[in-house]
Amino acid sequence: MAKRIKMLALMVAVMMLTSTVCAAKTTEDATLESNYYLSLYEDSKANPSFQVTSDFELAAENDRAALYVKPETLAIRILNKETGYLWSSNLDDYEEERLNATWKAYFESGITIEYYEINPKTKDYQINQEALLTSEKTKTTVTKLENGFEAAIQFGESQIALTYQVALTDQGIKVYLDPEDIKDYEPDAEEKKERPKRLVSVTFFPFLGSTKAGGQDGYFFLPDGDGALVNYANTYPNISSGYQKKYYGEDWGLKTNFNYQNFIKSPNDLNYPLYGIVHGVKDNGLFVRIEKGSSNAELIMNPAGVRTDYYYITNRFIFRQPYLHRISSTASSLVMQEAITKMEVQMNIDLLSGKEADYLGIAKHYRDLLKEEDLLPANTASGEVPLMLDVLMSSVKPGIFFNKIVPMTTLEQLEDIHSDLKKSGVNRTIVSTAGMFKDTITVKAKDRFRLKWKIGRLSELTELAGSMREQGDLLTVEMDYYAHSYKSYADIKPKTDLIYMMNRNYMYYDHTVGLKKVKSTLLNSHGLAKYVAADTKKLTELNLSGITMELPPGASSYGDFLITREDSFEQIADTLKSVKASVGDVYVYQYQGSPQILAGASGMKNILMETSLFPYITDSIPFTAIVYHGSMDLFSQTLNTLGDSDVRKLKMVEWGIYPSFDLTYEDPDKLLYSGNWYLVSSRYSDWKDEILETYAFVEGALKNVIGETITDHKVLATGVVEVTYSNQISIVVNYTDHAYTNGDLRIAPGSYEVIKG
Amino acid sequence: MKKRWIILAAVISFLIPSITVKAAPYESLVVDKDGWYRYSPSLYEPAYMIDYNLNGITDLYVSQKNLLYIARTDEGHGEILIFDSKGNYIRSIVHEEMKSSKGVFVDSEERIYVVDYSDALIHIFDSTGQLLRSIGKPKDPLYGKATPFKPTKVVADKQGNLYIVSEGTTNGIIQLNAEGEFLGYFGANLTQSTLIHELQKKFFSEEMLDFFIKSVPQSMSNIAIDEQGIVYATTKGDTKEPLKKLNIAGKNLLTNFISNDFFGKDTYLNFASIAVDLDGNMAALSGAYGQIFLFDKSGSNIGIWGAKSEGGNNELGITTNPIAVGVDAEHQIYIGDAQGNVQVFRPTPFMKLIYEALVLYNDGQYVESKELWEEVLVRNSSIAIANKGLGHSYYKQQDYASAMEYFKRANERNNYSNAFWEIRQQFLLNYVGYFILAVFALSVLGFAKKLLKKYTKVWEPVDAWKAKCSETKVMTQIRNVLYCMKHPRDVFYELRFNNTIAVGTAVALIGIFLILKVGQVYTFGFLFNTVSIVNYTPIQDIVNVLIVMGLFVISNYLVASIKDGEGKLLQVLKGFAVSLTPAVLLLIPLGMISNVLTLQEIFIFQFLEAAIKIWCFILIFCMIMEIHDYTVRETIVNLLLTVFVMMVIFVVAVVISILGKEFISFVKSIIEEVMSRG
Repeated sequence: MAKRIKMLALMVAVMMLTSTVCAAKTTEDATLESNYYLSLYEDSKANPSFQVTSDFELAAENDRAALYVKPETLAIRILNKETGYLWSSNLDDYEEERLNATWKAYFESGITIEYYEINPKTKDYQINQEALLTSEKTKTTVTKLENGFEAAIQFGESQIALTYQVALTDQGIKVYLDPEDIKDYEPDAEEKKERPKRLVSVTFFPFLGSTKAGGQDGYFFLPDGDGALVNYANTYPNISSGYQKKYYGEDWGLKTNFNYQNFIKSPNDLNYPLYGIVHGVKDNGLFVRIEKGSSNAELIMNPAGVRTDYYYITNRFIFRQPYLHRISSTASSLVMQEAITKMEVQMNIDLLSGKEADYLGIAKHYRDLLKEEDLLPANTASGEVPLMLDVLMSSVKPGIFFNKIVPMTTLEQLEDIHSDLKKSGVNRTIVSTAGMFKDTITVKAKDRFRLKWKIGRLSELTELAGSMREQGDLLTVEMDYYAHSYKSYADIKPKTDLIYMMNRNYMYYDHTVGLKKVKSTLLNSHGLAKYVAADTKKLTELNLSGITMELPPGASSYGDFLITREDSFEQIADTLKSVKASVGDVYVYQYQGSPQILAGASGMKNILMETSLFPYITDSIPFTAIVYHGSMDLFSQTLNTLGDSDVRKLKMVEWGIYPSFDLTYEDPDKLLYSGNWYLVSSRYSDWKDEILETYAFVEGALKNVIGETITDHKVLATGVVEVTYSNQISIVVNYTDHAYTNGDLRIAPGSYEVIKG
Repeated sequence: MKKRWIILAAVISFLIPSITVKAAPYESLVVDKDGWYRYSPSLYEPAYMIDYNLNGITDLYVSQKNLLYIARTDEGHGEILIFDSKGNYIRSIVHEEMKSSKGVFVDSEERIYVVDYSDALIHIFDSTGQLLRSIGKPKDPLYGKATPFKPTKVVADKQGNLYIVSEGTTNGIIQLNAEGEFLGYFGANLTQSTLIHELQKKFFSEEMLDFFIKSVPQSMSNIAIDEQGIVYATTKGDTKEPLKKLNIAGKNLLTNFISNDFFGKDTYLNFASIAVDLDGNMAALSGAYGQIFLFDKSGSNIGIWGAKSEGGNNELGITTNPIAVGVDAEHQIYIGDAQGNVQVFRPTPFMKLIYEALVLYNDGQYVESKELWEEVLVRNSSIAIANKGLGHSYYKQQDYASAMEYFKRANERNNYSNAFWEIRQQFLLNYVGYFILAVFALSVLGFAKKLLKKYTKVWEPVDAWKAKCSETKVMTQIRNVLYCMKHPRDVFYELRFNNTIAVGTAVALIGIFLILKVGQVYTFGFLFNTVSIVNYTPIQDIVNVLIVMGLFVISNYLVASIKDGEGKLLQVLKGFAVSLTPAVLLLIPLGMISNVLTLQEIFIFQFLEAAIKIWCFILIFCMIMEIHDYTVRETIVNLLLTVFVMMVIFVVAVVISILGKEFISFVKSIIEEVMSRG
């Protein structure tokens, strides 16, 4: 009897403790459940909410899918024949929903546009939204095509007409809009009373794949940070706005202001033109990719509780944007772009079934698509895990009468650092130097490659570059094509080389370098190609093995009257390819890369390991690594100022990303009042130990999987992740602070294990 | 039995928190030695947000038992919500008497003080929520019947005395005893008086002064109290003391504090709230910027972080309208946002390092704090307090040279002076013997020279050579100039009639003066040189000095020619140049002295500096008098008029330059347009 009571008491105690543990779970384990990590998602089934009803007609079908359309509203439903799951872009019944008329129209309509009209007296413009169902005068004509349908619409309110096609592909469906089929409403001179109404943006079936909070098990995938998941568990009534961001960042040709809000770190850009929807983990999913028109598109995602009870995600294709037009030297006003951007819009919506329907499937699907389109860079990985060092050679400070050059690392010191690291176990180093050449005050190629005299001589440089290459390392130069300062218009032909902004100005801005006031410009892709060609020749003469292309975020994607964003992508991609062919290796920053640009690169730098901290973003995933690991080297952000290196080391191991550090020989204290004053701590003697430690830690795991692709990525338990590569080697990472055991496998807290075969 | 304990242990282990951080969407800054802000590795990172039913939040407080008390007002009733340090809701306190709750404070016995603004009462509850008493406007005649009582924030000390911030009360903090009797005002803000105000007060009568809007001091925005009973008060708006640490007498213990226009002229930090942790570190919330300013107990800034966005950036870590701040025992910081949530922030390992080092340092354990400060400096070498801490630890260890270096990096002149004194002491003790020997040797040599001269002819060729040299032009000039030092009037008289000073001498004198002035910044000792080398542009300085000198000479000549002066322009110029001779002669010795003196001997330096200036002024005075043939009175008039004319010329020049710039930029922009279109 006593024994039983004791057992009972013990069980009660355990239960009470567990309950407090569950209550305490808000914070302690919440750190592991924060969006810095990936939570454990159990496989689940989608919750089928729709059936093919009588108001839908079959537009086309093939082995994979069937496409249905509701002719009155152009809502669509897609049947995944493999799983039998039906995706819908509208609801059957709006009675129970708390949606007003506008939202109902938005929900139900297959297409919604925004248009603007100008008040002739005030010259102000006003943007209105019109869904298909907003006006009764809207005329819709649906024509069946061979594998889909074509819809011709004349909107009642705005009287804008356009035609688009939805067709089945072997993966799912595709939506296509030809800009020639868009007709704005331009009233004749007689009808002066009518104001012209012009198209601003188009959104196609925004509610495809939407769900209420808790309505499905699953998540949205957004390419925010590296990759972000938004699961459907909660509602967010207290947030005022959802997620709305342009792909690839702002268009600098249309930039309205150059001021960033003080002290708020620039928010992440979206680096990949795609998103994903998962209904039922490993059951059903959609992969939505913008084939054409991504350079002027926005991702919109609203969680439940913000404006509606639904989680929905969609693309908004922008045909006209506002820009700041100079009225006088001091005043400017916001004006709407008059001529429409002639861009084709093509959105591919691929169905994912079964095992493919999760974030891993989404990433692998993208990887396969890139491979087919030849956009996956060729595997240039060498046999060693590389360490990326961003070395600042010198900077410029105001001096007594002239600018003073502050040498931070001479060539000799760089050589010492390199051999020291080599001796201490760093098997491969990629050095990206900045501040090495005279300055960017002039663009003339012959002047651009004079070494600052305090750093060393050109012969030393060629020698060092050569000897490093022999040891399997790379000495590259960071070419900052955007901080180009120029002496006069004679050096650059503004008409062809500079970004011509929508407000009819060339993009240049004044800033001071030390004591000098200089004008800086951004070259457009044509100017870039011109100067890169000249530079490349010189660089090969110097025996350098590669360059890092530094372009500001969004500058790889600027548009003007003469060159569209898409064209400039293409041109930059070509430029990169030619550089790679002649110089060797080209490294780009993650935020600059459209897939075409990335395809020409040997490695990606500055990979973000965090998503934005919006409360609805629930997890972060290594999207870039899954897509690109094995095709190119991936490097983290420089680790000098990011805190908590222990956790970050583990994340690098899990993601397959190599470490990167800022480095100087001298104390960066000397950089106060120079242009590089943001460099807080980078002295080699201070950082040597940490560099070696981090490298050893990461190399221990990743040396086994160089050049391999990621085949599997799963969460074994909260805070424990297993990554499997194409050579059957798995790496299991344990983020928790207690050991993880599973059969024979035992991983110490804060550590990893490499499991072969 | 054993198995069950294992299960229990496994369950308990879940309770241990794991140290992980999220990247923060705001920058972290530190203040460097010159008072500028620099970027820093992240100091605090957002942990989580509490938005459980917090509409109408007004204030928050973290009690000593690490419970979070949040005050909110909603539709005519106030509520205090209590959460634990992990963000779990425990319970609420409501009471029919509590119609609003604008401020909340919890004392060491877990008694809750709530400010009921709508009823102008302070309610005191015990830890279970029972109302103990309500205190209203003091009935003391000293307080005054007509004086309004609009309490917004309250704190209490260990004796139960209440300190109340009342809206619109400019006399300071209202101090009541535990029974609610008025004890007095405390720590009032001072008015900002400008020169114009002072002049008005002097010259205008009472009636006239009444016309102007009275400048009253700002009233305080918030208040806090620490373990020792020291009261802290924040003030928004235009004030020289945005944050005060008040002793019993109401005196602000924080000297040399951060200035209110830290981010730029005409900006105010607008501290909305303040919290003090167990170590005495202060966290002040800037309502204007949404940033938390962290200070150690002596008021040195140790970090700035955070951001607010009214534009709907709802990332975790960014606030919209932050109004209250609280700190708990683990240095976690809670920010209350009027939007209806409380965000909780955790210190990064880097920040914890700084906190640890501060504890040791403020405790006087300088040597123990050394390693920690060194680690901090590796990550960010510009933190002033880390450099100061390291300086102190080296000083304690008697490594004075290193101490000096670090104090210099922290701009700590007093401490640098002390360390320098030690080194100088050492040096003197070591070398005083040689010094005496050298003096003795020199005197022997001097005596020997005298003997030689007297008894032999060895010295005669040297003397002859010397006599010959003194006949050269250069030597004559130098002799004249030096003679001017003692007999200025004679020399100037000679100059006027006999042109005894050459133009070249004048130019040389001015040139040397400029070189020495510029060189002052680079060569003078750290203790006496307050010009920051990096910010100093010598060309600008030289140009400024030349302009002033030129203006003086020209104005003087102009005034003199109108007022019967007899001097010519060139003579004025030469005379002026010669008047600079004391500076030319004595700046070098002044510089040498500045490198060997400590702050205790600053009077020597200041004396010499003043002497140079006065001597130059006397010479200029004599120069004007002699060259223009004035009486003393006329000279004074001439000087005043010269200054006036200088100002006039300056103003005219400024106006012309502004107009000229506009014209040039207009022409430039036309050219640019043409070129870019062409």
